[in-house]
Amino acid sequence: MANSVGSLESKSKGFGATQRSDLWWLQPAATFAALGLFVVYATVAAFLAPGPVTWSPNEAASSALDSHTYLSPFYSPAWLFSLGNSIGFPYPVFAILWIPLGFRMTCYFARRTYYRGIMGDPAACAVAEFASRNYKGESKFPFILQNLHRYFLYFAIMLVVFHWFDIFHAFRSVDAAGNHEFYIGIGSIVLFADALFLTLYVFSCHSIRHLLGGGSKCFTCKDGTEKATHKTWGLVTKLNAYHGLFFWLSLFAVGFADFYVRVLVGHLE
Amino acid sequence: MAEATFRVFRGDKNGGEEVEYTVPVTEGMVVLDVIHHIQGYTDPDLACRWNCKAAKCGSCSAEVNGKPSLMCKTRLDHLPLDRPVTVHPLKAFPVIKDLATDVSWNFEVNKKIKPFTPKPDTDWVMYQPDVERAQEFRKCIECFLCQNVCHVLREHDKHDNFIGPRFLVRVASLEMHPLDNGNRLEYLKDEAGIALCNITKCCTEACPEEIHITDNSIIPLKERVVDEYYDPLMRLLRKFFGKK
Ligand code: SF4
Ligand code: SF4
Ligand code: FES
Repeated sequence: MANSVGSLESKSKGFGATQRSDLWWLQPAATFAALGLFVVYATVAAFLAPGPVTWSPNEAASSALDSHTYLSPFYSPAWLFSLGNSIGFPYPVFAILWIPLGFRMTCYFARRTYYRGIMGDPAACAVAEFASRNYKGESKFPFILQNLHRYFLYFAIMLVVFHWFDIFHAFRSVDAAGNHEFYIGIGSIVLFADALFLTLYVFSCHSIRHLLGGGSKCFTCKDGTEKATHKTWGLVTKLNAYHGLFFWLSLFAVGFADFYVRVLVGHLE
Repeated sequence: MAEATFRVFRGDKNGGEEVEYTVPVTEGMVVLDVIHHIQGYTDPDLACRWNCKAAKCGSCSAEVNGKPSLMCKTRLDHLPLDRPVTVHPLKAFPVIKDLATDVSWNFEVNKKIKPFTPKPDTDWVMYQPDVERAQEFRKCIECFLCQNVCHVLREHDKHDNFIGPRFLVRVASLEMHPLDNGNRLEYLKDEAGIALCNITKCCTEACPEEIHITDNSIIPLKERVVDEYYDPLMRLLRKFFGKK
């Protein structure tokens, strides 16, 4: 069936053609800038330091991996980094980074965001795209791989656990003799924010909403007694309404936490 | 009295042009009032569909300043009247005349969806927690603004391979019905073309009933399709523990 776009709004006007008179281009432009900035920063950061970026108030302890106070979240969990190292990855940090990268790339909110802001498919609603008669959506390679989102979710949950484990480190310091004491600095708060927003982001995911009850036909079948899945689904549904917000907050928090630890270590001098 | 200029599309399936009208503006006026004024005072043959003027019948869908909207719900005091306001028909469907489009394709699509299918021995008792999820979908007024704004239909012209957001909402309302026993997953994947939706959410933005089309119907359906076709682990579990 032919739509009437052709007769009403010449396709030859091409990408961006629209009758909309509002600032429709603002959101895709801001998305492009924000995602672009993060990707450039993360790429430079990942290639900058071969080893895990750690900091400790006690100079002597800072080099030993298990006695650090702050560990940049890019390198968490540290054991996975060490594993990547021992396998001989040229950049062992990628033994970790594929998890957040895969999770975020296949995230339903992120898909909307980059299909719009980066691929212009569509850049905004009721705005013409690059003329393409060959649209396949998510039905063919590579975008059919978006269906693997829940597998990345399982690994992302693991990442959440380890980020919290690092919070335990971030609130204590170890002296040269190996004695532990409570410590709190700006970095402790920054790393705490990273763990918190990552948790909210992961646990507001659309796939987890489905897996924790959304996928079932019925919450009380057969006898009217409420199953636990109604509660879990209800909770995730509440969080899910803010999934996009958590996506951006956690992205900003992880980037800033890495930046902050690097500033302390002196990488930017 | 204040006046405003409107550029209204006049034409049919062979093409057409914008015609400019100047209309007096009164308090509380909506775009549909403007169209009625033009019909009453200038061009009685200007075609448009409407019925309730209360945003409930879903007939008066059009594109006002390029935005898919119900004309009866679009107030003039929300539009910049210092420049001409454009009013065009829906672009995802063929124009019949002026602002009236042929949306019959939608009714054909609807017929192909497997209807509510209860088990033969159904006990007709339902509980609130089970029905409330799908109640949101019952608000649909079939204005087809979501169908119109969806780029899969509007830009990519995939009417033969994609049923569009409105009907994904309908499938979701059936799939989430506690007493329904039909299986529409193969249909969703192969005929309904759910994978063509790239969840860019324009349907949700356009819906006058504020149905969370993408988050509450399309994504849950996509996840059900993943369960069935793209998740080997889930398949294995189903094999061991039977269908959940
Ligand atoms: S979210 Fe999907 S169905 Fe809705 S407008 Fe976008 S592509 Fe179309
Ligand atoms: S889902 Fe919303 S936009 Fe789509 S037809 Fe129904 S009421 Fe209209
Ligand atoms: S006239 Fe009924 S929805 Fe506008």
